[in-house]
Amino acid sequence: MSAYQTGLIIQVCITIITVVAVFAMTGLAGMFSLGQAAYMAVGAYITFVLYRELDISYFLTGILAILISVFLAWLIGAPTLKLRRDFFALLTVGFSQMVVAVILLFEKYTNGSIGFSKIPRADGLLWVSLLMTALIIFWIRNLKYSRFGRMCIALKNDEVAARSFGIDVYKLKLKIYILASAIAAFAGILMALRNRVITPDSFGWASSAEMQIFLFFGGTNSLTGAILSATVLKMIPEFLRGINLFGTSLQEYRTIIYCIMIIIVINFRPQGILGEVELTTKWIRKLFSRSKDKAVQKSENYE
Amino acid sequence: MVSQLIVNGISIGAVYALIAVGFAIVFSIMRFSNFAHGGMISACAFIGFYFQRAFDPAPPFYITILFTAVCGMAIAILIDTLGYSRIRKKKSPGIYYFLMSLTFAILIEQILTVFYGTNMYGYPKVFQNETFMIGDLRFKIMNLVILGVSVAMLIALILLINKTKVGLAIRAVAINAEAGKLMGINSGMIVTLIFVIAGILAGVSGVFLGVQYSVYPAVGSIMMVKGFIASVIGGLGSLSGAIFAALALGLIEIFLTYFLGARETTVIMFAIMLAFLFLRPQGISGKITEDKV
Amino acid sequence: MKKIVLVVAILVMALSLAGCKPKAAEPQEKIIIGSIQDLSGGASEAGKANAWGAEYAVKVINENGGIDGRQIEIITLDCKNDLNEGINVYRKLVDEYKVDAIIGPPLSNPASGWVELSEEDQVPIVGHFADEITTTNPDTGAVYPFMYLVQPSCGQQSDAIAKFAIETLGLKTYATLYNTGNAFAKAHAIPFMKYVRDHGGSVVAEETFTWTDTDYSAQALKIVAANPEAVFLSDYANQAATAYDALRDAGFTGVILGANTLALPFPTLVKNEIHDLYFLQNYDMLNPETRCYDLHQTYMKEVGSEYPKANVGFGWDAVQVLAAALEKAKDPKDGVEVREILESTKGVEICMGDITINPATHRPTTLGMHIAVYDENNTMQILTYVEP
Repeated sequence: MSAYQTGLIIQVCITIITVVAVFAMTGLAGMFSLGQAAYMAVGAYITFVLYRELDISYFLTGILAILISVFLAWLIGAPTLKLRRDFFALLTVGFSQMVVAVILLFEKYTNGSIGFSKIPRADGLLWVSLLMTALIIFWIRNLKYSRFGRMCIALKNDEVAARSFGIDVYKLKLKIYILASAIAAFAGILMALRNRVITPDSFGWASSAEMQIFLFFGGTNSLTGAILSATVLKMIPEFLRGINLFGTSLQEYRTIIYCIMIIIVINFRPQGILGEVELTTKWIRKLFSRSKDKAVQKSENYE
Repeated sequence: MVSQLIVNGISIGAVYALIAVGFAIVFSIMRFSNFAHGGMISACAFIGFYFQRAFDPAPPFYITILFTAVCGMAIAILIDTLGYSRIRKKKSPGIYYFLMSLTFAILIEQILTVFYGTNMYGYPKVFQNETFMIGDLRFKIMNLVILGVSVAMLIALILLINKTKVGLAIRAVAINAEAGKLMGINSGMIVTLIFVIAGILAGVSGVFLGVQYSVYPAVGSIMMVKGFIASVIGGLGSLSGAIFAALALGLIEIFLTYFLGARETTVIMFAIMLAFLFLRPQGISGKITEDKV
Repeated sequence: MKKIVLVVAILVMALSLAGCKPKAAEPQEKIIIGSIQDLSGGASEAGKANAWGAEYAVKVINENGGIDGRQIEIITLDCKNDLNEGINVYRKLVDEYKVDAIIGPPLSNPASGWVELSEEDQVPIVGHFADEITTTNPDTGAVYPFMYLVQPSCGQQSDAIAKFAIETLGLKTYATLYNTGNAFAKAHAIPFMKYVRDHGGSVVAEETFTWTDTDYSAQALKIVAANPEAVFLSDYANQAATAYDALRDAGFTGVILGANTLALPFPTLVKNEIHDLYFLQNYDMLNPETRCYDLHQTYMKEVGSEYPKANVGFGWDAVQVLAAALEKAKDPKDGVEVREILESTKGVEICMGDITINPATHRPTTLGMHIAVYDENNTMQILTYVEP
């Protein structure tokens, strides 16, 4: 497998991880945040700036970076989660821009807009990415079906009703927000390792918006939808590289195409392409046993 | 020096005020944040540019403003029809409105970038002499025009809302759309009217921004965030609050940039916004901020 | 229905993860070079011109027999002015198309991602990424062996205009106004200020703004208050135009110096009159007696452009330098050998002059810059040439 293909797979893994984190936040708990990319920036920059300045292993600085992300999420989330949903969303935009501004402010350490490029090569990044992606999917999936997850879904559908059931809405939201930010920070570190260079431009609110678009496309209630959507929508531009429209590659239009798709989806199928469909173990078993029983079933149908 | 800064600050503040009001008006009545407002501003900046350039000699400035305002209106109604009307009928949860407006914002910006982003655009000069002096103070004619037009439009808007029958209907729908319908108000038309107003404001803001600075696809969303900050500080849902906050914002920004520097200013502005949200979320004027309960 | 969706979904996922099969390797006769340019996004006007220049150069070389009788195939891919994409397309060119060398973009952002990759894959990259960090390691000063810059670097360009201002215009006090979020602008402003300070001048004000600022009047006021004789603007055309207007509106009547981004159509972007403006240019594009005049005329005719773009010359130049090295190599497909020859490039004829590369920095030593002005009709005129 060429380095090109490996790189592509790692990129898809990173996208899946971030969209799954957004799923936990938006799909499970109904919070609409455009600040996930900012946490990726925090994770990436803190890990590698400290790695360079203090000369310690980036495993350690990575853990520190994730902890700092968690703290930051708590700091930002605590006062703002009480506010209206869209208010909160616009705030996260502001937060995103502030993080970028801070990165530029500290350019002595971060190299500012030129980009931070002293990131070492990590062998086996492919396996780490795949493993962590699987773990995170597994974790969030369990979360969805756990008591915690069910409480979240309850609060998403109707906060007032959830509160009347004794669910501490605010604390729940805060926990999920912090969780999502930690996952995002980790994804940021992965991205830094893949690219070997990080620039503040990659972490603006537009990147966060892209994650939300992927999520809504697949369906906010479906974890499978989120994963599928992330994979497909990230890989398609690669395949479309050769096709031309109006003289320029179709790739240039990809954001426009995504936006139009989302507008159509929300207008006509707001629950997303996959809606409530989830891939469960029962299904997979059914799928494999189906072929066995098909012959039996077919004959049964004729009776 | 300080007085010059004040002059400049108020000029910027006037533009922010136009944007903040366009945003606040949709918020007061429709109860959601119209992110697409930024996109409309960018699009109108481009439209105004092409309009000015299409005729030789360039048409009088007020014609350009009028034309762009009409275009802004058309775009706003288009967005409403394509994006919001169906989810309004379905009574979807608020989050869909926001996502839809965000998507339109990105869509417009991307269309502008892909089809027009490669070239560089500058509005042709409008006035013979750009500036004139009164004593020690330097005034840019364009700033005064913008200030004048903004003030006039805002006064007209406030009069419309508070003194006319239509304004009464708008305020009624803002409080309760269903009850408004029961009282015989055509709430569909009111909604369209709101978007018309927002569109006109976006159109005018777009032209002013394009003339003052430069025409590029991201100009709308950058300014929209500032308009949003002004709305927040002024108190979402209050028009006069938004106006005062926008003016204050312009002043503060200029002073901070002068005395501290641009990088620090960006960080501080957001910190101010966050501080307001912690300490006084209802803003200066004190209106709606929390979800229903 | 649900089951079908599921099966389709799994198939799509599997297909996506399987990735595309690499193309079969090209027959050994052709020399394959990649060209990574910004064909979309904010810098695409320059990028497309660059790509055109490179492709045209290859066409001309092929028509004249190619390299030692071997034809060159050039594959142009779009890096969309994005670091991530830059790495993606680099990988695609190296892994799938198996290119022997790459022509780089005039932007440093994507290039900074390739500095170590090019060494690992042993693929020489020749381009116009002017920021010094793409050719030499900013911490150690060591050169990146496979990266080559064929125009004066940001520092060299700023030195040229600073030298002009100090020696020819005789100015002593300076100020800068630039976008800290723009690496290009910074990479010009910082060396400019250093040169001025090292040569007896002084910097009385250094003002900055960011991408999200639209109004620079406060910064302009501060600069006017510090009263420099000249202000250096090093941003892209849009921001430079706003900065120019802000300065003139604030009452600055002194000299304004600019980077090479202030070429046409800059006069159409500003509201104030253009006077006392001097800016850098790589080529003298409008003079029929210079080397690449025909090249620019051909470009303008073919593409239908109203004014010439320096990037066409960039693309052409990069290919010339690479071709000269490929010609000298025994095996042009051996990246290590080509790299070594590139290092000793001497006197190769390109649009900008005759280029000699400094082996310690992989940047040119013999290329100067032109200083241009706008006359009363806002046509660009080349004023003078500054020796390197």
